[in-house]
Amino acid sequence: MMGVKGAGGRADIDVTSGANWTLTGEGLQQLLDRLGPDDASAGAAYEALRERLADFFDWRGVRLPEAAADATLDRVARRLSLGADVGHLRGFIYGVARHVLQERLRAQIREQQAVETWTASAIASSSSSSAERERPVACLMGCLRALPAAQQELIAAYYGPEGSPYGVDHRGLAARLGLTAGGLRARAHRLRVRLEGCLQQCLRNGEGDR
Amino acid sequence: MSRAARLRAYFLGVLPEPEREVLEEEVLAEKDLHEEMQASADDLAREYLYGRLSGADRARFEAHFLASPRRRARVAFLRDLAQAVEGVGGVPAAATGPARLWTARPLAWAAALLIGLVVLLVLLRRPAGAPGLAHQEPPVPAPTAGPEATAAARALPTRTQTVRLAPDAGGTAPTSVSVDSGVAALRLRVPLPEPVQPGYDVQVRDAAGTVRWRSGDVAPASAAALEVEVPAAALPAGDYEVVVQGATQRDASPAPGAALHVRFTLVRRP
Repeated sequence: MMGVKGAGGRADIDVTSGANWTLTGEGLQQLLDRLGPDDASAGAAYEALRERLADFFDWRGVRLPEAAADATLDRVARRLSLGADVGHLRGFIYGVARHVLQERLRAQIREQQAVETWTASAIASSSSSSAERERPVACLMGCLRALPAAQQELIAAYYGPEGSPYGVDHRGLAARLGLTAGGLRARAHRLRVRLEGCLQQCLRNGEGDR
Repeated sequence: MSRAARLRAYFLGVLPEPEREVLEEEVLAEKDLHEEMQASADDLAREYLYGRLSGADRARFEAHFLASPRRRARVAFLRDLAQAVEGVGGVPAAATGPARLWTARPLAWAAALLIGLVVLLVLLRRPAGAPGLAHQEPPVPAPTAGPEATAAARALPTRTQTVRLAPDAGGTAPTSVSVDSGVAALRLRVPLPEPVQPGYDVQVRDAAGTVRWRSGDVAPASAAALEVEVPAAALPAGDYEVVVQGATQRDASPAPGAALHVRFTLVRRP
């Protein structure tokens, strides 16, 4: 039995994948029960947790980080369905995630896939000469235009070309809007995340073509 | 180490393992920290795109941060977003305030007037309201493929523009380069003096001497010229100097005039 000990978790908990085990409705329901008092809040917490786990795996260099996040949550659900006394849930989940991380990294090393080397010139030229490069920009322009004026200003302040006349004094903007600099930054970031969603939808719809 | 410095070190892959673990476990529990980390990653990516990372950090960024396809896509997204912001003219004129850092250049004002007219037309087609930032922003709708979006797409010649530069000769004015707003990248072609080196460090500096973009160990495109592609978003209108330094010159003691300097003035066409 493989063991794991996350902060707040406990030692000697079987978190291996379990070849004959599949996620059951019971296991998932127990996990959701731990995440929120009702289906809506638990579902939202599950999705937020999954996103953070995917980022964790991505930041640690795991390929297919979303799959690793799903594997982590499946294993947590499995332990819950088997009646494990998990205790501090987030600590336990992190412990399981670290175990999945080690597995995935070992597998990647075994695969010996070459790590791509990306350079500034590669980023600059990766799509600048193809039609693919044009669609995201056209889509994003449409997404930006659909935003209220103040939100466009915020995005321009944070994500516009540096040194351009669109640049905005962040402190001045924050003061004008009655926000802290951190609050302004967080709001700009949330808008950026939504613009990414808008971009994906636009590209899926085949828009942004010339 | 400040929290911002910790997050930066995390994404450059230099935060000690025990601190990484603490940070990662906190991220699972704290929504705000997760957002802060994503914003921190964006900041780092923009520093990279605009050539503001030191040589060591740039190497770490490329080896660690860009090792992930997701993060490469994020960097490309940020580059595209900067271009899109420029493409729609920055921000609506109605939203501008005293904090705006407009330059006093006539060209900028002329561009602002044009942009303002375009934005005004867009605003007139939208429902009234939207003063100030709403606390609960509505979802961003996907753009339609209507005439406006199509026209915007057509107005986006997202191509690479080749710029042939000549070394500075005493007393001559810098080369003037006109660039359409939709150009994605500038391919700067610089003639090389003999003897040609196997690799060059290239910097593009603005009039204040700030490095706007840089690249190291660039191989010559031919026996006579060097070419580098610079994201157009990194270079707003203004005066620039390209500094090209051969690898052997860089490693040896600097000698006066060892680096090649080429000046140009970039003019943005709306």
